[in-house]
Amino acid sequence: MHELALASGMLDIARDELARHNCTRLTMLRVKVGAISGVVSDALLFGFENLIAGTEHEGARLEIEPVPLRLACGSCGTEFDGASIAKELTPCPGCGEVFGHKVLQGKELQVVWIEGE
Amino acid sequence: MEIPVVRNVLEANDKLAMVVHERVRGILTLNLISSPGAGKTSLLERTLTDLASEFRMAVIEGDLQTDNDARRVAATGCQAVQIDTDGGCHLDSNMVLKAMEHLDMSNLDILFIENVGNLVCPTEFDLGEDAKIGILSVTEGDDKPEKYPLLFNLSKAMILNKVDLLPYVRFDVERASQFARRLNKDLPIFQVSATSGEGMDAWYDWLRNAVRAKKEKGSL
Repeated sequence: MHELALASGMLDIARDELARHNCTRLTMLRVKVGAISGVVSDALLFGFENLIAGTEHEGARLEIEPVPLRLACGSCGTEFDGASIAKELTPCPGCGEVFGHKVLQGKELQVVWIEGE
Repeated sequence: MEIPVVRNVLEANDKLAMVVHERVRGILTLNLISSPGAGKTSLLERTLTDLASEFRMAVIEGDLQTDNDARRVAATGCQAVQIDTDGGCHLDSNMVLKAMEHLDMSNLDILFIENVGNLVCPTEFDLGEDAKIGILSVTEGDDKPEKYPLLFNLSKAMILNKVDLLPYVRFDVERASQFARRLNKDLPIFQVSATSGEGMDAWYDWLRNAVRAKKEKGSL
């Protein structure tokens, strides 16, 4: 729902890093988006493209790297992938427990690579 | 040029949340989150009125449009500041910091932040609060904790409002409570009616303990 604000946060990071490396124009930005980050990739892309349109960064590519959900069972410690629908309530393949899993990965929303000139 | 980085997109918010957290030292700061119409403002009105002689309280009101809620809160005699998000779906730390500039923060015991009515986005933005309070009402589905696990997982207390309407609606209190507790083992759940006043005493006791913990230990 707030992807425009998130896209704007991504661009703030990009501008900061570009300036630090004596670049002025962003050409590519890669962001990791976790399966339960609540971010809708299409909306993020839409926000990003609208924010750079008409600026020196127009035409920059946004690469979205999805991060699957990885859980550790709260009861027996087994590590497993979250199912796409049940998500953090996926039954543990070890003991069947549904609740109380620890999220090992899948909440990320992280800028991991920037290219500029 | 290629620049490898690892930076969280919400880092700007998180940094400002730490600034807020510094400024509310000794002041219990609660982020109230619910869907629209669950009764956040009514609950606040009642709480502010009933505890007026006990605590010094202030409210930051987040609203999409209008200052109706801020007016209602101000009518109780407490300081209230309105944040108009102009359509935005959540409050962020920057808005809270700006709102705090309009509050007299000296001698406060409790700062309530009433977030925008929404169970999704507000949960993801740390405002520097001591606790999120998830508020549900019995006129909603009893599967809300199942549908919005993050809020109930992160909340330090849950309030179930409008229990005076239980005889008229199909809401399974056990089901909602059980599910919320499975996401959050020791979650205190208060069944209240902000309208009739039923059950509010247990909530007030929780507030008293939380105020004490914040003053003595610096956190809950």
